[in-house]
Amino acid sequence: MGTLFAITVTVIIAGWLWFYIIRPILEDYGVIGVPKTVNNSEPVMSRPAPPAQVQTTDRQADRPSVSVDSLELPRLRLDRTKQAIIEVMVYNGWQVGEIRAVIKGDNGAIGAEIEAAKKKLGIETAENRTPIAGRPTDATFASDLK
Amino acid sequence: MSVESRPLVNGQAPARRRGPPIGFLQPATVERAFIVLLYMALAILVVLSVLGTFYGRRGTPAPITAPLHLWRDIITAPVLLGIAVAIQFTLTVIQYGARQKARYDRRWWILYLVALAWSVYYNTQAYWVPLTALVPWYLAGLLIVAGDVLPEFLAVRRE
Repeated sequence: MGTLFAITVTVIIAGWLWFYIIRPILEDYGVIGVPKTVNNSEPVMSRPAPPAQVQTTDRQADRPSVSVDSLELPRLRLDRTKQAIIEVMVYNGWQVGEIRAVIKGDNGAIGAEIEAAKKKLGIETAENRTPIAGRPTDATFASDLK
Repeated sequence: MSVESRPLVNGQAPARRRGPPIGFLQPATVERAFIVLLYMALAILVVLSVLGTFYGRRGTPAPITAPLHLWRDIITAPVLLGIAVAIQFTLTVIQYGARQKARYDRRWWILYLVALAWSVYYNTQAYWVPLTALVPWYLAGLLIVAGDVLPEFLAVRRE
């Protein structure tokens, strides 16, 4: 009974040490799983090149033409700020409501950061225009309404 | 559109009962008591680590089954006790700090393991003999290592 208890405690302690120390080290060095840290010899992600101005009027529209390198997930290993995460989400087509649903913080502040991210990425959104009877919303429709 | 109607009690919807109405301990109170117990265990482990470094520097096993003998050794060598406290404090800061730095650069794991190994070395010199008299050798070894890692696990807040 004493040996069984000792073996049980040994297994529990060994398992805890495995998950708390050994596995994180092996993962960081790529022996198992996915490494979580970046080697210093790897180049630091640079800022994106100035993108072309693109208007997005449709959620299914083309993505803005920005540099892909700086907006991939590895960047988040170095830049662990809310702004970086919002930029990645904006780049990947997340809408304002979707971002607000998952990011903690004041909605107004998050909205301001989303706008800053769009400006940085060169994403221009078309102004919301509510079609009102008799008031043209787009030049192409103006002739139809006359 | 479907509307679910529920009877109101004094203008408020009745609270949904989740189980039999028994029990007198508040969950928050139990949690706080458990956390206090963890912090007490942390304090005991810190004291044991310092004593382990003290006896490890002397190269003698710690008389954990004879507290009076232990007390006599401490009061007769206050300088060595101070050195043991300083060494253990330094190793603790290096161990905790290196692990935090390892989140950004995996090379800090090496320093973490060095600090941990150094502390384990002192504690092994102090506690191997008395522990192996009580438990099997494999459990004694793991207890010594866990005794150096558990304080970090309890003390450092994880976000």
